[in-house]
Amino acid sequence: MLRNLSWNWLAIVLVLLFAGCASTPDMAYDDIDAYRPSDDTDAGFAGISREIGNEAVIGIWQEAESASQSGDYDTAAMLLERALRIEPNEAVLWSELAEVQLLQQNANQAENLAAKSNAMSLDDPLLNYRNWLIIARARYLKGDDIGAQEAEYTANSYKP
Amino acid sequence: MPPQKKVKRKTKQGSGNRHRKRKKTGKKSGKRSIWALTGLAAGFLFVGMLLYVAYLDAVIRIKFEGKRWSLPARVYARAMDIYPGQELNKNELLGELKFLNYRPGRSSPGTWDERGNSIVLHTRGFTFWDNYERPRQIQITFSANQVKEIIDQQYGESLLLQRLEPVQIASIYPQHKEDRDLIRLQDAPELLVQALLAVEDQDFYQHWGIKPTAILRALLANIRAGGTVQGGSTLTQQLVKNFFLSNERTIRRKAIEAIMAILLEWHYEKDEILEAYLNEIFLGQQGERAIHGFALASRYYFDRPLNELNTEEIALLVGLVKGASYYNPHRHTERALDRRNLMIDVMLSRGLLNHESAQRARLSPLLVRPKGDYSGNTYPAFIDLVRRQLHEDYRDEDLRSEGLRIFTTFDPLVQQSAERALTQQLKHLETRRRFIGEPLQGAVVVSSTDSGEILALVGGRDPRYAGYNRALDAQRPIGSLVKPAVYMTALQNSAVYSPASLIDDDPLEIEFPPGQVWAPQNYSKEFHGSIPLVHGLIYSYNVATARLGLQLGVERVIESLQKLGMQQSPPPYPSLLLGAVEMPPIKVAQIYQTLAGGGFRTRLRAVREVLTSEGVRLNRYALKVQKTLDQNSVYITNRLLQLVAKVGTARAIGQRLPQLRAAGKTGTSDELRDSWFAGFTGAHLAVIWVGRDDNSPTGLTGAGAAVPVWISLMENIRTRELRMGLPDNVEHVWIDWETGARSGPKCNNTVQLPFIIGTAPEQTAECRRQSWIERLFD
Repeated sequence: MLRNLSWNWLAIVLVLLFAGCASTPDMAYDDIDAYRPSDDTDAGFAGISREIGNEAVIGIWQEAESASQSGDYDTAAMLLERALRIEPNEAVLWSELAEVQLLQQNANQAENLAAKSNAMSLDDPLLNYRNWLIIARARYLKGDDIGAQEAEYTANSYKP
Repeated sequence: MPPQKKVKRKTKQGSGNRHRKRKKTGKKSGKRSIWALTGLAAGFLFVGMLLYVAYLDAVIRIKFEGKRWSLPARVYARAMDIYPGQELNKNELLGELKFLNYRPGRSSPGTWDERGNSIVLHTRGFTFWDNYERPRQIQITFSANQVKEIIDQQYGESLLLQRLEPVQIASIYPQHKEDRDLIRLQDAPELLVQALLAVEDQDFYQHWGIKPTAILRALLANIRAGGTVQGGSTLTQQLVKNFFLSNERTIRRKAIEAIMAILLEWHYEKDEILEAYLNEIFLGQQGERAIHGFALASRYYFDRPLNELNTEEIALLVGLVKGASYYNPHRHTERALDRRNLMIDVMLSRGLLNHESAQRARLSPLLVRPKGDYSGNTYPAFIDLVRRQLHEDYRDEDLRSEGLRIFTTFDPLVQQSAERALTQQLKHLETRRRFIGEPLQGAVVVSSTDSGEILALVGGRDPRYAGYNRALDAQRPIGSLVKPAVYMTALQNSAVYSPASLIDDDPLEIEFPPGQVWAPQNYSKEFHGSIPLVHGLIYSYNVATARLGLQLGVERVIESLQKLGMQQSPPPYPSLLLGAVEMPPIKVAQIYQTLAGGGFRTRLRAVREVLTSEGVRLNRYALKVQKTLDQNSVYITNRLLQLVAKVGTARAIGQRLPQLRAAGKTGTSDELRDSWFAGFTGAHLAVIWVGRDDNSPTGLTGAGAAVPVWISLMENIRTRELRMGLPDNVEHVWIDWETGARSGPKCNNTVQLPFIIGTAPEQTAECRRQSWIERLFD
């Protein structure tokens, strides 16, 4: 029912934190999945919700998500850029773009885009947490273990 | 004696016989050798002909089986996304549809119909990078200045998003200037194909390349006329002629044409030949550009895809086959009209039309797009940028021949506003100031603040002129546009500098170069003594800025400029602090892009994706960002730039467009040669340059010429208020405007300035309370 509501007029998508229980020092990078363009509230997670006001953006984001899952990262990134043209201040889209870069092993871009998302997301610790996890993983990928650990430390400070 | 005679006679006889005999023998062997020679020659000729036929055969097969045509690259603008809630009004949508050459109508793709608050349109369908957007009939309803609802009329469902097809903004042609659009036979309108066969070759599906009776008839007619007057060619022969042969009319060429036609028919199916014909036939000439094939001719003459043409338009194109220049509808209107109507008669007599539609078509006027209207390169400055970007990855010949489909960032609506803003303002300035001599010139670069996509580019006051591209190539001193880099460098050292710290605007003299004195002056020729740092930037004081920059070190300012995106490494002369560094508007845009992006550098891009002619993905130019500067100093600098556009040198912006809260900086070079403004809103960055090509002074400051262009541009596009998130360790504190000391919100002459937490001045200014009337006007 919520699907109907959200698709027809509510224009709200609830994004759940469903891996928040992962503990340090084993950083659970599944936490990067904390944001998903999902309208499924039946999963039973008492998570933090997030609203995105633009249904067109949600639609594109979901398409990007499935492109990414099928390994078509170029299309995923292309779609996220399209969503950003509609909502350039939506920090979570920058974070998603960072994740796609990470999946493509572009560590540098992943880190920079996650930092951009952080710069745009003020007062959103959950998103900051996710972005710092991406930064940590990007740094590991580059072989910068110390930098990665620092990023993990910062991520933890945002952990809800 | 007689015996002698006899002997003699005998001898004579004998010799005569011998002679005769010899002669006889010679005749016999001569005959034989002639035969042999003839045989040999015939053999050679036969072999030669066989070889020649084999050669022709190879020529045909290579051409037909290889890449038949060089296809120009097609360049597209951004596709417009339409969604409920979007700020877009009916007129803007109609503007976009005009660029797409939609016409009023109800039934076919490429039409629109206005119904009260709604527009019903039939999209055409288009293949994008990610998918194929099918043709749809949609109703878009507006409410005030917003899209309220989009309904797919076929399925009766509401849509969350609709992407229109992109406007084709240019073609990049092959060197030999042949242009064409390819069409498949099954996609060609039935009426076109039937009419073409009826007029040009009724027995096309029966003959084997040539029609001997037709050739004979033509031959007789030619003999009677004493010259070549009649062709009698089949479609196949016409195709051969277009493909392989020159235009001369000789028996020899005719023979070769016939042989090749037969060979072509021998190797290939009728449909393949017909399809090649549809794409190859010459149908017009525009300047140096040859118009080949029906699909391109449709765009050239009618500005629409072939399958959207009506009966009379198809008739006109079919009529052009016989002689595109003789029946040229631009030059010989009457002739073209007669020919068109003749074609309609043929269609009627073959039963392709009924009487009513034939009559209606005959009565319709000859409507073709005005000649010269289709330059194919309406936006030369932007296309120049596209080519420069693509040349990093593609060879020029590939751009010209492979039929690449290039998707760009170009926004035709923004471009239109940018062109108008520049040309109208320049005209206005010239009239108002009664300019004589060298005309004013200008350039505009517009990009999107977060993605770095170039949305519009104007290379001069005649935007259609494909010559000197000032936006990319005019190397001009940037003047005060350099100042934000000086102040940002200072603000990075928050222990020493804040927006309220005092700097010195007293006379400055230094020895540079050795033996000479460098003594910068303010624009007003006045000095201001000790001033809060913020004044130096927003009032653009040269002396205070130069002294500050010298204290920081010119090298450090250059470093900041490079972090902002400057690619040059100019020598660290003091004059650089006042903008004695030359660059074109696009490079200035790159620098300000980093400020607009909050310290994240994004390379300015004109191309998003490249596909092959078949829609296979080749290349994507992804959005990339690089954090090059610390967020805090950029935030504070941008806040000060907002003050420039509110109360500083660009305050006209704050007066005209206060809701945008725009940030920017004016620039004026020595002796008023260059007028600059670089400024951004929440969505757009625009850099404006105004000056003269001969570099003579214009008497115009940045505020006098470039700012009005910027205002006019922003007034006419959909842009957004500039909102910057406050970084964690920055706070806003009320400061007394004159002294830079701490103040309060209720005091007179006070302003909120950003500080790194803990760096705001502690000293408090005397608070003169605002009277209620002052507050009223605040």
